[in-house]
Amino acid sequence: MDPKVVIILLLITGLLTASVYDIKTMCVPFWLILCFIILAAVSVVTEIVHHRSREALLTVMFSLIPLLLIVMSAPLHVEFIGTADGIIIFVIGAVMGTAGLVAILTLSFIISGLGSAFCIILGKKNRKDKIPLVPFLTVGTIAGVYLLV
Amino acid sequence: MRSDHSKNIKNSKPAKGLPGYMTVEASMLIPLTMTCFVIVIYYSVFLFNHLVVYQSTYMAAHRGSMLKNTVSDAVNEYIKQELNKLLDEQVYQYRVNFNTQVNAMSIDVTADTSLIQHEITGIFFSDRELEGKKDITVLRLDPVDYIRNSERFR
Repeated sequence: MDPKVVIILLLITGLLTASVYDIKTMCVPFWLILCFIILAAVSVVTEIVHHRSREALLTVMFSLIPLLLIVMSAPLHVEFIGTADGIIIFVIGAVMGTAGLVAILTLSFIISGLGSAFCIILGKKNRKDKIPLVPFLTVGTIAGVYLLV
Repeated sequence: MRSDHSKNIKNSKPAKGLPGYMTVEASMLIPLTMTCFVIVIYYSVFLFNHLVVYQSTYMAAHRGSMLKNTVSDAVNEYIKQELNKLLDEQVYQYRVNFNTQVNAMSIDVTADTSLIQHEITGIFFSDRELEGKKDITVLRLDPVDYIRNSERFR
């Protein structure tokens, strides 16, 4: 079995677990974030060793952009997206590659946008209310894996 | 329902983790911004490819015009080779068809370009929308000779 498949399955399992925590507490536990980072490291090493491809490092650098933006915006108190989401986006990018990350993020944000619009129309949420993002990322990842693989 | 969920979150112990939320405002703004960026990038790629193809077409035709005392077929072949060399790995996801016509007086090169459509981009852009055609005519005669001859003729 291709190690990539195992890594993707582990990623989806981790995302489902994180979604449950995110819906309940709007937080992702540290141990789960640590697991995600280890998974990203394993994915990059596997990509370099198994496929002898150095593009994985470029992908990691590209995936770091959203995380850096979120971390840099923290001192400005612009709390539009959580740090855990940034780390999870980085891990998804490291595992799925640049094209996969773009597709997954597009799907996730479109789904979350539609969901939010629906909530605002029904009057269940205000503009400044917070919603968990990890479930949308999970749905986007599953849809992305189904479409890409 | 919403207030119960918010109360549960507020009353619960401080979570040992990093925040994983997004504001409703951001969840609506980010897809819009992303869509705008994607459209701008897509059109930029289209524009860049068009410019490269047009410039290469002109350069190939001009190089072909430098060949003196050569039969038309050889010039034709030379222009095609030059154009392939110039366009090789320079244009991104592009389809280029070109025709060359070499006469005694001039060289006509027609480049017909179109961006390769994907399943997703095909939804937003029609095939005709991202097509371009460029006709270039380059004189084969040496301008100095041409001026001298015309002066003599006068």
